[in-house]
Amino acid sequence: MANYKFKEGFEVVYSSISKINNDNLTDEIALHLLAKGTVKESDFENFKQETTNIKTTKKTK
Amino acid sequence: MAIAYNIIDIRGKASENVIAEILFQNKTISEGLVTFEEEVKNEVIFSEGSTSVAMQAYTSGTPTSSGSLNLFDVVITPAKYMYYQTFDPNTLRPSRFKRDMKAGAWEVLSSEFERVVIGGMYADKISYDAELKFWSGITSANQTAIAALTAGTANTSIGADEKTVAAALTAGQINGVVASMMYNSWNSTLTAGVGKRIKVDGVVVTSVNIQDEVEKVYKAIPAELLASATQPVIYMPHVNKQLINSHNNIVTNYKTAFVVSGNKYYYNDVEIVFVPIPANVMIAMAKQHVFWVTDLTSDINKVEINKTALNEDLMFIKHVGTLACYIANQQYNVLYCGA
Repeated sequence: MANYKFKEGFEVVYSSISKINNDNLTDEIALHLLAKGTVKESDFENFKQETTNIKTTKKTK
Repeated sequence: MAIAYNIIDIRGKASENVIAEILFQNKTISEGLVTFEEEVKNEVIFSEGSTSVAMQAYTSGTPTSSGSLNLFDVVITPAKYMYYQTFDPNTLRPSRFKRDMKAGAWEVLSSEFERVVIGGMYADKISYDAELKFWSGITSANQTAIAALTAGTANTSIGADEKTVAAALTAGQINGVVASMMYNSWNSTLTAGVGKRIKVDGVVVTSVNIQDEVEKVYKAIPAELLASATQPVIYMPHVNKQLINSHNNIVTNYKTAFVVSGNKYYYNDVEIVFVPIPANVMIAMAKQHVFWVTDLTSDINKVEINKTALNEDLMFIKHVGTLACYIANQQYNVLYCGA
């Protein structure tokens, strides 16, 4: 289950059969799209909270 | 499935044409944008070979063997697929299509409906959908396998952009060209893994940066391929045609590397063709390296219409086909992915 979640209805569309939405979004893809500038932090729900959670998880490990 | 038709009972004149939706045509077949391997009923074996040679000092005694002769076979089994739906021709009785129905209560078939809606729109859509899947299809098994790979920058690793593109594709019946270039078992040990394609990391392609991005693809094409008889082609998504034209419209870009001649597009003399691959994906390879494997390519134009049962008036439309792709000489093919 991804920690990141797009805002309702948001998706990145590449073609009629190629898109990233909340059904196929993973944390890895979310971070990649953010790093490439394809999406913005504001495209996600609760972005700050989720980011904090991920950082906390990494520290615990 | 019933015909969804908001009918106005026909009284007087109906406009001559049924206005159809605008579709991309399947140019992969009609313009021969790839190589066709036909009459494959079940399986076809592709054989690939390479050699290495080693010049050595002459000896009049016993020579030492040096160099290699390498071959491997790959079996490709096209997936058999179909499109099928039923409809009630009685729905058409009050419509414009009644004009060419034969007299008699039994007669509800309309040749105009068959010609325009089924033979035209529906058959064209099947043809385009098969082309779409040939290029952009992925099986759920391959999608899962790619998702499980660790992204890395080396050519032997899946790219983060590639993983995103693979995840974005809609899982279906076959692995298309894009997915197959990323992950396949077409190697000497038949081991599934990252494809040997030349990986180019990309970005979101716009009319502003398209020359820079295509330049990355061009530079990645192996020089021996550019110098060979089997010239590469750059396969681009349909949307890139607009991006190139918009790019060329900017005065400062006049006479850039994109040359447009009629409906032909070139980059540094390499032909560009437009196929249904996702935005921000480009492929450079020779047509001779990508195979459309099927029974008959003309199958794509065949639909059967008949009654669903002898005691019913419902009818069905059915199309059956077989399809797979095969990518040869993988190490000479460039895959650009941006996400």
